[in-house]
Amino acid sequence: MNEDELRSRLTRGLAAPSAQDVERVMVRARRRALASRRPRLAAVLAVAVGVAMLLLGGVGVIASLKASRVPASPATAPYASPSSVVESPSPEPASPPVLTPVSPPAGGLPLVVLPTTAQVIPATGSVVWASVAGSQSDLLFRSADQGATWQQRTLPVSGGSVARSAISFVDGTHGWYLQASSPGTQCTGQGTAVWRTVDGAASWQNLAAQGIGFYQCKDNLSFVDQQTGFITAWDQNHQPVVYRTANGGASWTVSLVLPDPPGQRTSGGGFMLRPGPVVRFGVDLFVDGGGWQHLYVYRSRDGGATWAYLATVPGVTDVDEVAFLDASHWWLSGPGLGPSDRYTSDAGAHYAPARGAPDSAAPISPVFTFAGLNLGYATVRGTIWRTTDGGTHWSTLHTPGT
Amino acid sequence: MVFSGAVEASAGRDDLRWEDLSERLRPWVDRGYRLAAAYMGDWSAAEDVVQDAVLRSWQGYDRLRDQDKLGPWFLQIVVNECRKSSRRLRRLLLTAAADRGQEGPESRVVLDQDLRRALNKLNSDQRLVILAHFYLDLTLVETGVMLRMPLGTVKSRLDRGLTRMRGLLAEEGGV
Repeated sequence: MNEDELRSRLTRGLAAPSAQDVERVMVRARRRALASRRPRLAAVLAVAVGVAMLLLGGVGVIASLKASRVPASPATAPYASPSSVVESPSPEPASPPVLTPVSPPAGGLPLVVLPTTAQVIPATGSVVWASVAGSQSDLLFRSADQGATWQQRTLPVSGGSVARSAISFVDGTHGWYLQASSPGTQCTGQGTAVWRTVDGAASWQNLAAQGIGFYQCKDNLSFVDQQTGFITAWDQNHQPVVYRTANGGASWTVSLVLPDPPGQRTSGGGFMLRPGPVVRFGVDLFVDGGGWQHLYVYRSRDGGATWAYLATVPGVTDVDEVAFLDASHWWLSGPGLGPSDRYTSDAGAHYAPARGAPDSAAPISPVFTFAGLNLGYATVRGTIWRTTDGGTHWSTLHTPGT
Repeated sequence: MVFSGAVEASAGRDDLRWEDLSERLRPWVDRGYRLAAAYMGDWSAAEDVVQDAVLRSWQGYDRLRDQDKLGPWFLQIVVNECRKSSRRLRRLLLTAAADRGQEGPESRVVLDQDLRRALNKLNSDQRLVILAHFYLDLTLVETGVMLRMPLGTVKSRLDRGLTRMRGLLAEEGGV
């Protein structure tokens, strides 16, 4: 095949967008661009009104200015102390609300209408949770037999009030739910609320969590025991941080930023790191960070207060995911790895092809999550697989709700 | 009155800036769309990516020093958004439309399955270089700007990618 043939085959073989497709993109981008300037205009207006009132010497001026105060600049106060939280979705209720559980519908009808997605959260050797995206809202299921059978549970909130969410369980009863509002442009800020269940997601309590700043987008809630949990935060122009709690989610403390890895300098406009979920093995914490061309692994040995670069996933430019089986056994997946995923048993010093992989026809590689060296789950396009031998063999599970 | 006028002037400048950018960018949006669709294999994801890239271009337009490189610069943003979105999509998990016999977005994107499989087996840089040069008709210099690579690296990745793709397509019986 010569180059002209390749060019011709690519042109014939890949569809092109219509003029309407392009127009739709431009119209929507313009709408977003205009929306993104509104806060700036609102701030100018607020200042203008305030100054005008000052000039008039009105008695209510100070109160007016306080009410219209512009959020603290990220450059000067990027991370929140409890007193500097700009947006609190649940401003310290006198008695935190408890969600009334919603009974799962009776009968055996499928709950999920296309499209469907699934996220698997292994909590213990036998208990596994699955969050499945339905047509209207997310659904939560629990299994006590490694996914053989499922029972529907409740979520604290769903639908339009949740722009992004993350969920974590440490056993069959204790779980947390991160509710995040629509992010600011380039993820400059995002409001959050943290919910907790202590009864297996029969009911949820808003913790009115303190210490999580508005600055940056929040992802990847992960609890490692009933008291200790982590949330990662990032934006398009700065280095990421990790929030940590040691009291079950009631209050959070932010880490120092993850330093730039070798060969990458955070320079704004998307040239930054986006961290994955934090995992813990012994006293060591690990988190991966997706950069411009590589994936990097970071480690913390002080409970998440500071993070140090540990490894660069070698030789490929688009590894999407590191699933940690333990401190030294990592499973890498991503489209750049070719037909098979990769595996390291010495914390990234050497890599070998993974022993097996789910039989997926999808053009993307699955998301993997492990609960030890042998038990693991993989999901892609709503399909769930399970391995009990460290990834050598995979079997398909019934996706709950479908 | 004075402040109101200042706000209106600011909004007017934004509008003018948008009009200027959109006129210059429009020919490249089509290319960005095709690149994102080919890279991600998902039409709706590609649309989101290109939309984000247009927005970021508007936000960073004033900082673009070499206006002659607007197109490759825009595609650079598209590539970056593709990489991030690919990761984000997999983190949030993907729809099952294609698994259920629906007319999913993928069926609009890829008409040549052998070609798609071969492209998917290349590493990211090789795939992007081939798509940029042979599918989007970028010059090698433009491809280098887009991928932030020296010209020599572009050439070597193109050469290796082509060699591998020929082998893969031969295995598929495509040549």
